[in-house]
Amino acid sequence: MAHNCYFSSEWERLFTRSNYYKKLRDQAMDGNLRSSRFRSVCWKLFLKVLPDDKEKWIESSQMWRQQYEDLKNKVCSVERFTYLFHLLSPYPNNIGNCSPWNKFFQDNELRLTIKQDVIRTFPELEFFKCEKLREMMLDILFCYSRTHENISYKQGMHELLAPLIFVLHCDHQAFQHACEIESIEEVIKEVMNPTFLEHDAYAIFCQVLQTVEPWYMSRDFVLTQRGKDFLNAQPFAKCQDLNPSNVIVNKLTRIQDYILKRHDSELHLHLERLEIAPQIYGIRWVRLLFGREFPMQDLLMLWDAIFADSIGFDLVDYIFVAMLLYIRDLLLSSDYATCLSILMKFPPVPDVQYFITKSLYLREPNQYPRPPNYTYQTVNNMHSKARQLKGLYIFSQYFMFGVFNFKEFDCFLWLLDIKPR
Amino acid sequence: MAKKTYDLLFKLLLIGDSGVGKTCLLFRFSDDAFNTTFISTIGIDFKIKTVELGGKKIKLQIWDTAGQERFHTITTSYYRGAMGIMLVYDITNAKSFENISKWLRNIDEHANEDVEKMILGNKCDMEDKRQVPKERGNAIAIEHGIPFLETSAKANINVEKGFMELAQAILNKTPGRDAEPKGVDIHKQEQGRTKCC
Repeated sequence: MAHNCYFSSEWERLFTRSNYYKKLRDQAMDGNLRSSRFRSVCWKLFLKVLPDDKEKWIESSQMWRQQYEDLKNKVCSVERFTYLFHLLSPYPNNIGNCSPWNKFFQDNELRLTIKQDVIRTFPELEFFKCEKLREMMLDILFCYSRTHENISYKQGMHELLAPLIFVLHCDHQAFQHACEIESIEEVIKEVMNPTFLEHDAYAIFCQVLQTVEPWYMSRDFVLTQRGKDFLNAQPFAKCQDLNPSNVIVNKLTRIQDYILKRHDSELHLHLERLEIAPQIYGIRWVRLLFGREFPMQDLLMLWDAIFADSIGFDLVDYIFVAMLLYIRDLLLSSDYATCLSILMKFPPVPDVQYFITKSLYLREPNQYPRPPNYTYQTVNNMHSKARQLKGLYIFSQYFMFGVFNFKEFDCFLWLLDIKPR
Repeated sequence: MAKKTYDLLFKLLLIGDSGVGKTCLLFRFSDDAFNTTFISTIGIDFKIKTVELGGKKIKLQIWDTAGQERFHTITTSYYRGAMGIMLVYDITNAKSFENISKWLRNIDEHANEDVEKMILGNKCDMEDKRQVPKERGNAIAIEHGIPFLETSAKANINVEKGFMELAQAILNKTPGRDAEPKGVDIHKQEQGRTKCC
């Protein structure tokens, strides 16, 4: 039954060893969950959707799912009720705050707002174009915003939810495939039950949001006299001057003015001189947990590490700085507009694992070895060196076989990047 | 640092409800392209386009905002310092038009008094889904004394015109625009605090 052990044996390898949780974390930090079919289970563990104690996994899964079921019934039945109300009663002249009419309009508006983003989720991925999936995302986000009215729905949340659904879906596919060829333990069947994709996505989403929620909070601006003075102080004033109590701005300022400055004062000074405040580009980086900066597969690896490292997603700040260091030479040789363009459209990265290794080093330089220097320049020089070597090889071939002519020599110069195009 | 390849720098800001097509308008203007697969803007985005107006090279620094953040500090801090504001609604979405007055109030509160404004009713290629008659757009524009255009990023209608007219309006009141090129480079301005020409 060797081939049958494939799926179950991975489960055993991941979750049944002694001290499995620590080993799981190490695997996540090393990028070794990349091809795991239990990534969603690992994330549930890291994010405390599932407790450490495996005995409680079934119970815990059922509890979360029931909770979502009840919530959805409640929220959506209110909606149904108000819809009925809408059909049966004439349009009221005076819409009171508590009237079901008011609720109906609010809910409708909220749904429209969410939908506006849901239909624009990862447009390059076919997976997110499915109408049923969009409905599901809408329901999850709607339930979340209705139960978290202090924050409600904020743009960007949809792109935190999407990869969670994607990972659950991939794992469920693998599970269903395995079900056809092997007998599977009860606990796996329960935890991986594809019927509850929506419920499980909601649970993981809630846990992620619990950490990132403050980064979405943006206090509505109250224009006091003091506020006005601040506003009049200077054009394109720094946000932290305007509203010192904003969590995300404080976080970003700390990253740039403390962590970056400590590790690369030259780059820090450069950004400071250009007056590039970290919130210009960093709000998106942080709120989406770098979702726009990397392709999906790389992003998932990054999230493996972020979730595994700590429930406070402490690693985010250091990954942020590792990313800046990766493009430091580009930034240092660029003016304001070019810098912003680079920061807003992060260049491709061949090896995302580097950022994890680097971020660990940045956080605790004494605990981790210094990773080799890896920047946009070194990576791209390597590529052009490889190209030059190839050119040299072709050149030597020409001489060996005596088929040298000027036209080909021309090509050779191109390959060596000597000749301007 | 790269040497200056322009005579003037204008800062523009795009605002309006979520999904009205701000990013698409900007993409059409800067890259002359349209893509139906657009993503929501998170926080703020940024594009540069250099144009020629009245024999001057003008660098347009255009800031694209997230529609949902009407009241939020992070976006409103960009109002100040913006020399032109493009206020966009969607002609197929009545709500986005109703919110124009709220956006205008926002501009009054946060932007420079002399900021140039322009209202754009986008998606005018979708006549069959129109909810806002052109006259209503015109009326609100006249009421506030702001130029108005209906545009389509998709069909490339009036996009270039809109941005160029806004730039022209800023240029018209730029002091000493016939004199020597004067960089409105904010960094230099910050250090020097010199008066313009």
